[in-house]
Amino acid sequence: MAPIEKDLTVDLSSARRLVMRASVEAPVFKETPILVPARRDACLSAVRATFNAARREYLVTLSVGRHAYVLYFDEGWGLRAYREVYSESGDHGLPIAPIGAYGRTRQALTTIPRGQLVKLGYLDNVDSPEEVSLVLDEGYAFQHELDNDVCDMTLLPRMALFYESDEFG
Amino acid sequence: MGSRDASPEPSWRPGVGFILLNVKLTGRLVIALPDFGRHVVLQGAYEQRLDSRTYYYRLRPIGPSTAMLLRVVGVLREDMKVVSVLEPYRLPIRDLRGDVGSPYVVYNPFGPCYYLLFLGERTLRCP
Repeated sequence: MAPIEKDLTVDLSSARRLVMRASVEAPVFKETPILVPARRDACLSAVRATFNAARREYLVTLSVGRHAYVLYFDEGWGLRAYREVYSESGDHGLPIAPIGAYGRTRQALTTIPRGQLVKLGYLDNVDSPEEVSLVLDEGYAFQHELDNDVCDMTLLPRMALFYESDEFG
Repeated sequence: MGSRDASPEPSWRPGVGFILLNVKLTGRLVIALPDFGRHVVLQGAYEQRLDSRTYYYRLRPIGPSTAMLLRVVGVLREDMKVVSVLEPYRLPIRDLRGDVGSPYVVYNPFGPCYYLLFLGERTLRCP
């Protein structure tokens, strides 16, 4: 993590390490959780984040090898909690987008890859480190190539309510 | 901004560092980031909500072909400055040096400030 100045330069002198990893499962050091990628061929991959303005905390997602984590940092980038939400993923990251404006405020859309297909799901109770869980639908959002791809998925929410009755003849 | 030979910075090596386009469009900010040797342009936009003073930041990753199209259309002008913001091998903090990219920008509206999240770790080559 490094702050970006107003002229779009990055202040590297105040860069901080948020997460480190170790070859063995180790306890959490203060402010640096050690994630569990036992094998050396798995790398820290695709950090994504969003800011929860209601609780004033950062939600950082990270995939390490097959494991996907959600980490909670306060405004000063001190670690509050973290939780592993998935352990069957590829090493592709876990982007999240809160959908509070259109659905339940505690859910965040996410995609997670399985093979070359990318599944669409959501993180339930995303504001609670104890209860956050990944709910995957059966469907696939899109398919990516074997290359290093970037997919931009734009969802157009449309909420429809169909009411049907034969009460009025 | 997708072509490698367009960088005026001699210290910038393709595929290792990130570049941040110093672009001040009207309320828009374009960031170009090479990731594993392939350029990824993130186009973000400040958008002001009508009901409050909170801003949110929306990133849209687009590929090199779209970046070329933006260059042709004129969103990315020729006079826009390309600034190398960091190279993972040359970070001042030793623990953060590495060859893994995957940058992201997160915005705190209460700061207000942006943070660049990146991975710096010396690992084996990942597919």
